[in-house]
Amino acid sequence: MKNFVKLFYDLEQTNQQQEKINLICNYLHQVDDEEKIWMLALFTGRRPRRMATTLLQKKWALERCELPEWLFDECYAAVGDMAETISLLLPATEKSEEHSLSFWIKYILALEEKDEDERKLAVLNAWDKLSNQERFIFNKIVSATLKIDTPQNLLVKALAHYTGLNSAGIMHKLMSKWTPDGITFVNLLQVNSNTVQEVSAPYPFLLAQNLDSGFEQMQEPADWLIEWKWDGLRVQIIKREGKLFIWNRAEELLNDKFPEFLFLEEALPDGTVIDGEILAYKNGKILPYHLLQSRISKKHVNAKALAEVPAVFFAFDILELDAKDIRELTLSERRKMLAELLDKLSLKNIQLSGSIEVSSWEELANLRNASRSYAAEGFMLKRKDSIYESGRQHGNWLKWKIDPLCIDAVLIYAQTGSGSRSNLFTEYTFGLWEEGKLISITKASGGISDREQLAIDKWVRQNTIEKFGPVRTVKPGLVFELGFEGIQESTRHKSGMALRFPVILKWRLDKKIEEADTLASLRKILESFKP
Amino acid sequence: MNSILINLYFFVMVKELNLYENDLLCNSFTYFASLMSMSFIPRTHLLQLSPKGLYCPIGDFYIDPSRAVDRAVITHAHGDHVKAGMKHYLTHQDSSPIIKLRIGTTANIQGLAYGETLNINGVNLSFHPAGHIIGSSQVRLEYKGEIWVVSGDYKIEDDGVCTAFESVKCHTFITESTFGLPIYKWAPQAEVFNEVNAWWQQNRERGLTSIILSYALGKAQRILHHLDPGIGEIFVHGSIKETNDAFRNAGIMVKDFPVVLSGKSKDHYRGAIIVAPPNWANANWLKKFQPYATASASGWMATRGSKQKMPADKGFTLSDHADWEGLNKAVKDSKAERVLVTHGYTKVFSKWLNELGLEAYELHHFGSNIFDSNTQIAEHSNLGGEAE
Repeated sequence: MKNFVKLFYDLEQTNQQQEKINLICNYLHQVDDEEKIWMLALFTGRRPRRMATTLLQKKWALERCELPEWLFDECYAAVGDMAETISLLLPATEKSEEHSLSFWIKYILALEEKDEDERKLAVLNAWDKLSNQERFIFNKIVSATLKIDTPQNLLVKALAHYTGLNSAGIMHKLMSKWTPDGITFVNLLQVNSNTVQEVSAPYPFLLAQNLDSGFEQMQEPADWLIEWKWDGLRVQIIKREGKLFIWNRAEELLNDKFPEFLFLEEALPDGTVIDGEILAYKNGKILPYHLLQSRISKKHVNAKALAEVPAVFFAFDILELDAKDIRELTLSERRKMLAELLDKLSLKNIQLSGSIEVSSWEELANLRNASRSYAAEGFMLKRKDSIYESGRQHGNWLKWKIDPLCIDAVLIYAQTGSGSRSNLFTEYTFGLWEEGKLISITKASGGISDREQLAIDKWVRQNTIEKFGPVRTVKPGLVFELGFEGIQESTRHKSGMALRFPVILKWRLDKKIEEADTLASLRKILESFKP
Repeated sequence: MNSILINLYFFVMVKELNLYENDLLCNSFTYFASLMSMSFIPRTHLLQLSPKGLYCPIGDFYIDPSRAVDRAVITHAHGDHVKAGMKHYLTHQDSSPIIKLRIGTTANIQGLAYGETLNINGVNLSFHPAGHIIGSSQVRLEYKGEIWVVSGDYKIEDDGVCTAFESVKCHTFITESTFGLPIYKWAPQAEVFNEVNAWWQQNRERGLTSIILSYALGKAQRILHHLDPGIGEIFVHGSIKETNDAFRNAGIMVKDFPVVLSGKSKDHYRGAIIVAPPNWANANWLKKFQPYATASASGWMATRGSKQKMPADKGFTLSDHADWEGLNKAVKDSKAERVLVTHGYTKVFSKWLNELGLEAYELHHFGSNIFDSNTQIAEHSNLGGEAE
């Protein structure tokens, strides 16, 4: 398991994408095809069933280490991960044995047939043979808690580089239904891009990049398809072999959530895949995204929700037509086919996402300022001659979002994070001034560097006024610039307002707390949102 | 005597249980306990914790005081142990050049050799090797046959640079506990330095400059000593050069390497290794060496969580503090009847020693009620950085 463990730890230690791809490629060269399949299974979330809970593993480890439980718990609090705590506390390995990842996964799968006592013996036996780092991975697989943070598109790029196959095909294959037992590495990746692979599988979504450079390299607006960027739910609607599938980007099937689109099972021709955005839409107006979100989060969509938050589908691309994968056609060609199809069928609740014609980029920049009044969050810019690639690609699809709204707020409460952040104060609540008092307005985390995080953590510990469980009230002293994408009235919040997608933009070391914003200034922003 | 000890122990336990939120109750206990210690406890309290640090009332001096005092005894020259403003510093002779470097040449410093004894108001004081960094010492105090040892920071493994730790028998042992959890188990340093040298070699083959981040005092000299000069050229950041020079000028031989100069082209350092202090990790300074790879070396690198928080590409688990086994060994070898635990996992380690049947307390719960627990947590949380 040496190779896999090394890959896992090396990937964790680099943030550079190319380096990650190199590491995966090197690994693929080192191991046999059987191990490759298991590696792909683990990297794509196809992990073996849980054979022992982390608590059971803890019990076994306690017996082996002969440590009091309180001491074990103190260690866990410092480490933040049970599998790792166990791997660090077990006695040093005396006789390590090298076996492949496949060997150990089969060893773990064989636990299925065993009762608890036999499982314990098998796990203790494995611990005796594994190094610390191998124990960690082993424990993670046994408890079905192994998480790999490497993005799928890097894995796909590495596989494409290693096999020489096309990356869209590999992504499609990896996303389709497969299990690691009963497939070979060669069979898994065999791709024929003109045939439809799996009846239900969506294509990998093409993701847009942020437009962060200027327009110098973009030539004329006429080369680009410009659309409003709607704040909705990105989905692919698929009709194949008489069946309809609505997939979101998290690969969740949403058929149940949208009864208003189920008629498409009849209405769409077989072999059709349309890419677009679901929006809440009523009386000719686009409703805020959070209404759609709360509708989705309900287990059953009732008649009331359907009436209050009706959904429409803004189609913007077509990926498969007449059971042919047409992603290699240009956007202009695909768009024409999509328009003709929608025109011919004239479907209720489905419309072609409108495009914007401008003669210059300046004109577009002016229009951008009006985005909010159209309930849009900026523009999507897509090269008309581009093909539909998978993953986040450079340069062909760009999003030009409006600047986030922002305020300067004061840190008032801090709370420790979870998992590996359990010993660090990383979750913050912020307040704004009203009548000489700080009123809490929102929680936010992230958006600051690790270094700053450590400094803030230290500051929180030194400036705690009160403790409520995991929450610390701190002396007002630090100012942060917070960004958010929307704001609405709220009866649940003390301030009477709720921010949407609040993020920390910057730690304002240059500002004193007196210089932070007031609740009144936030109310002004709220007013500007009202129609 | 037993019953009195139990009473004292009870006092400590009550404080731990936070039953003393009621001031009256707390004060009465404190009064009761101090009465006990004055009139009945046969042992002499050679040291007590005061707001300015660990104080010896009989000898009228402080050990590693945090605020200005007349007479300061310094265990070692790391910044959190030696502060400016003392009228008089007493330390191991090899710590003097660094204290001079950091505090100023006008500082009034008296240096002793290991084992040399100085009588201060009847207290016999001597320094004994702590193995933490060059000059680092345990302080042994003896008064009328009662012996106390303050460990300062220490490690058990001989690092090949400073004088190796020597166990000193005593009645009361005050030990640090920076890595006082059983998850901290150090590999032999030879293994770690094989990794470090292999990392450098690999970077060199890929055309990268290696930059290893380490404190200027202690870790830097240890790393420099064990880098394999057969791999390539070795450079140091100016602040490390300064420390090395201070040692060499005082006749303490540490390996010397050239300082990195600004203005040289990047290619000049391609494939070489540079040892630099951690506060340079994110600075523009690093950009000059692109393409490069960074590493940090610290005991905290033992866990994935801390490793990921480090702003470096690679983490080596290498510490100048004792690991769990080292702490236990030092306590055992001291043959102390009583152990006071400070600096780090004080609660965990003292509780562990209690369960082994030893009389052990957290130092800040022992004979003092001025302690602010919040500050202690902040200074010794595993994110506060090691040593300095």
